[in-house]
Amino acid sequence: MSPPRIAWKPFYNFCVYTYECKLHRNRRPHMIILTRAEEIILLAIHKLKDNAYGVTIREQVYEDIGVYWAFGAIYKTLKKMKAKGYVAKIASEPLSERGGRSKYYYRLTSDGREALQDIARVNASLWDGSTRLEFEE
Amino acid sequence: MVHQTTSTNGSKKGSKNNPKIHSHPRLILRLLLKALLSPSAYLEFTDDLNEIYQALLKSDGLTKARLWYWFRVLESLPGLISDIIYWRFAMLRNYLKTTFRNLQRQKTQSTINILGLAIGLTCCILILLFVRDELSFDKFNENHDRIYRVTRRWINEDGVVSLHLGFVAPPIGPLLKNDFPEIEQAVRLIETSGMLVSHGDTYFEEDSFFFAEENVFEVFSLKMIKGDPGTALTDPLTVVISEEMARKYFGSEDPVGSTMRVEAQGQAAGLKVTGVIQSLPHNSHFHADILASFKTYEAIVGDQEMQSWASNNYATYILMPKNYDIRILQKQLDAFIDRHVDGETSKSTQLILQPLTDIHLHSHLDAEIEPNSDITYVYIFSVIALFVLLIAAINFMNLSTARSSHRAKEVGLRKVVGANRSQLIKQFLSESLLTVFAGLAVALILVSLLLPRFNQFINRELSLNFLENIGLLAGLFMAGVFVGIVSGLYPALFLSAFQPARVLKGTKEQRRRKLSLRTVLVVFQFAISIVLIICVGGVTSQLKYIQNINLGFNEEQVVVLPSSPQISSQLESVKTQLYENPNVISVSAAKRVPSGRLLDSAGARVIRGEKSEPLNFMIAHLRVDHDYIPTFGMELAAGRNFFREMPTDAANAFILNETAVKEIGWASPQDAIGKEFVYGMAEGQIIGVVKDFHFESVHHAIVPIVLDLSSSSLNQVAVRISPNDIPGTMAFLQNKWREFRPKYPFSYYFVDERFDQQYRSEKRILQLFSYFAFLAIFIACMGLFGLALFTAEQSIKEIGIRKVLGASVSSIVFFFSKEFSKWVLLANIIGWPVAYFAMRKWLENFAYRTSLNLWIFLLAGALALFIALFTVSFHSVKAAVADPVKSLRYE
Repeated sequence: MSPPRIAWKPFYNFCVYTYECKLHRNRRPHMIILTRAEEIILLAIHKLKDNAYGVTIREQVYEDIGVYWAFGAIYKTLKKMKAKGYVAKIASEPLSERGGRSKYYYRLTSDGREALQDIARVNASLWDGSTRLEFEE
Repeated sequence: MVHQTTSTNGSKKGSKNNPKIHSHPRLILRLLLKALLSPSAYLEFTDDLNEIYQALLKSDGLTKARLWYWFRVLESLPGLISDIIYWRFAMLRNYLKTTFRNLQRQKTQSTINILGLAIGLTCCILILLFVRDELSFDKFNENHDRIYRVTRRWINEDGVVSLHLGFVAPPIGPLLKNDFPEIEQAVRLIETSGMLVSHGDTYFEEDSFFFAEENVFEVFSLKMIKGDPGTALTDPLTVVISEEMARKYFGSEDPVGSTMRVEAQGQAAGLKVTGVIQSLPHNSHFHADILASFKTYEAIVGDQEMQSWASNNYATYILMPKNYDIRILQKQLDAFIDRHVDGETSKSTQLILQPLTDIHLHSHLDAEIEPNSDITYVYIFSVIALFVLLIAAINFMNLSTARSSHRAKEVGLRKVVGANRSQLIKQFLSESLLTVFAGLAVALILVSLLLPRFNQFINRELSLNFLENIGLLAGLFMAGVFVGIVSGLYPALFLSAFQPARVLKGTKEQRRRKLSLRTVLVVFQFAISIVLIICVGGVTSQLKYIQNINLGFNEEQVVVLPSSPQISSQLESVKTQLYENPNVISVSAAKRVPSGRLLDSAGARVIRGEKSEPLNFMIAHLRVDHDYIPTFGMELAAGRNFFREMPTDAANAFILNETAVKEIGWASPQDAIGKEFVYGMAEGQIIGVVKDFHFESVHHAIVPIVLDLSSSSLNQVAVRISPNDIPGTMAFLQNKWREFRPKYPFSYYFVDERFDQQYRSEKRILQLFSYFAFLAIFIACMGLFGLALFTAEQSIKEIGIRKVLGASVSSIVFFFSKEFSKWVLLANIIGWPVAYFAMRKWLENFAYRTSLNLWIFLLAGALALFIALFTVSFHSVKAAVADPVKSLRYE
């Protein structure tokens, strides 16, 4: 019985995640290799300082890469990163614009900052510091 | 659900929009999202969307804003859905992790629980597999719901059925087909034994050799591997064999077209193999490995036999159209008898139609192709399976809930750190469900391991085929889910309702109820165990009794060999030759020999005073020779044996047994001597009365028997040999039989061994009961274990106080045990009468029974008590040596 198509990728990811956690007993593996989406969103949060929530993160991502991501994708990544501990979700004071509910802000944790450092290092070593690639004929 | 928004309508820009502005975003979408997401995620999403939506309303207008909204939600859907699925998995994993951890903490308890459930389930599954198999007999035939067997019964003047045979006379089949157009097919089969079959150099004596009419393939689903079913048995001198037979005689070559030679009674024929069929499956009421064409048989026996109404040896089956009400045909059969049978009417003999599928479980006629089973067994075993399942489930629930008081503290703690009630409930449920499924899995493994041995035991080929048994497995699965939920529910609801503070402090409101449900169940289980132990004792005792019973003749060292035409024609000379061996004490020829069936009988008449009266009971017929009585060591009560010197003995002399004399009504055996006696066609005098002896198994009472001399149809030879050098004597006999019965393989049996085999089914029953008894005790102990645990937990404080006041360990254990001994005693009181009645009922099957000794009951009771105390001691000792400081600490 194969799982339905739609759930295949997340199931696979889930298995990998479980395996990783088991391997490293929920401690951080040596190098945190973030996925591209995670990297982009973490950077956006970093750039937004204290003003990172759904709307602003989406705008920031657009500024950075030129594409508007779906809210769903953003929330999904945020949720996963919160579970991994890279990001903290903080409720603000209840606002009247939101009908008495609070806005949820996202902030980098120390783990998140470490992850960004790691991925920066990885990027640097991968791209050798260059922003353009030379291809041979 | 009204979404409070800031009123932006009175903006400076002044909107050209529709005055009936929906200032809150689309309702449908919101509902959708609300359904999908958790409350906080939903709110976050909708609030974020709303923020931008409001801005868009002002800048781009309603339509654009709405469109934007729609787009954003729709594009997010795949991401959200995959997110939800991922997290569902994650939660599951968490549940599993915690469940495993919880179960691991209580390793011993859980394993005992799982094991108990598994054993009960295994038992249940095995029994149900057997039941299913029994119910499936003959159903492999495509037409099984349209096939009926024709049986014939005879009624005597009092209206009592005197004989009911599963075979009928040969003319019946074709006549039925002729007279009743609704009968689509009628087919006859006859089974013969003692056929010497050969191909080339391979000789075997086949005891299960069938002759079948050509349309047998249209009635029964005999899968033909080679050959054409339409023409295979049309010609005389053709034969169809099974794969097994093909391998036996032809090895790997193709048998079709080759010839097999068949010899019997001095006649021989060559049969051409025209087809090979798959061997009949085990769940068929007959097994035919060789089917020769019926026309061959007809040619051999001749027309007189084929028209005789007295030779009822032919298995006759009819095929009816679909959904035919067989009662219509059945009603017309009396008239059919009156029409065709000469010499008898439907008053004395009747034809009864049996559905094919009824034969295996419901047919117990005086003559069947193969011995059948009984529907009672199916009922009994189904009930037993259900009981076992019930008890296993109840034990499981008992044990799981007994532990729950332990968990009270854990639950309290969890609630303090914030677990909500539904989480706790889910967790308890998942724990219990997991345990149940572990039990199921272990049960399935056990079943597949035990299946070969079980198959050997009951002589079947059961298999745990998933396809076949899907109903069974699905049913068990559901039962498992039910048990898991119910047993998880109690701790789930009960414990999760605890107030944490109270629980942590350790005050529990549990009153000790004298007659709680648990105790009742344990007593019940023990009662069942005791009943079973007593049954084991009773059956053993009966078995010993009947094995040692005096059979009325000397059954030891009598070997019976098959006769042959050569032997029959020179009987005296054969005997002389055999006597040359000093170890041969006595030789006799006979048709039927003790340990076989007494199937011949005829009507008898007796001369009383002036009149010749027919006797209204059957007297069995033993055709013997002069040496029969001495060879078997039978004793005469009066009169004499047959004398060779008396020529009249050959045709006019009868010997009765004592029972016959009694039934006829003569005062003593001596009175019978000289009286006139008519048996069947023969008239004569009674010259002797033989002391009663057991012929058929000890199950039956001794029936009236008449012996007379016969020179034909004595197809067995009984030889009494001395106990010295039995192998040597057997070798001598083997040599002689090679002369007397050439080409046939040497076959023989010993009368005492044959008698012993009759009790095989009793021995089997004994084994079965022993297993069940063992199982019952095990399960009862499980129940007791749980109960003792529960009681021990409750009495911890009491014991602590007692210890402090100076009670010794042994006195505490004693106190504990006293409590439980009462329950075991109660179980005994319940069990003894039940066992007594059950055994009485079973013993009624035997004409000769032993009496039930009291000490069997006492022994069973003592055994149960011992085992119970042993089980309880696990907990009582633990409780007794517990440190009173610890038990009283939380006061």
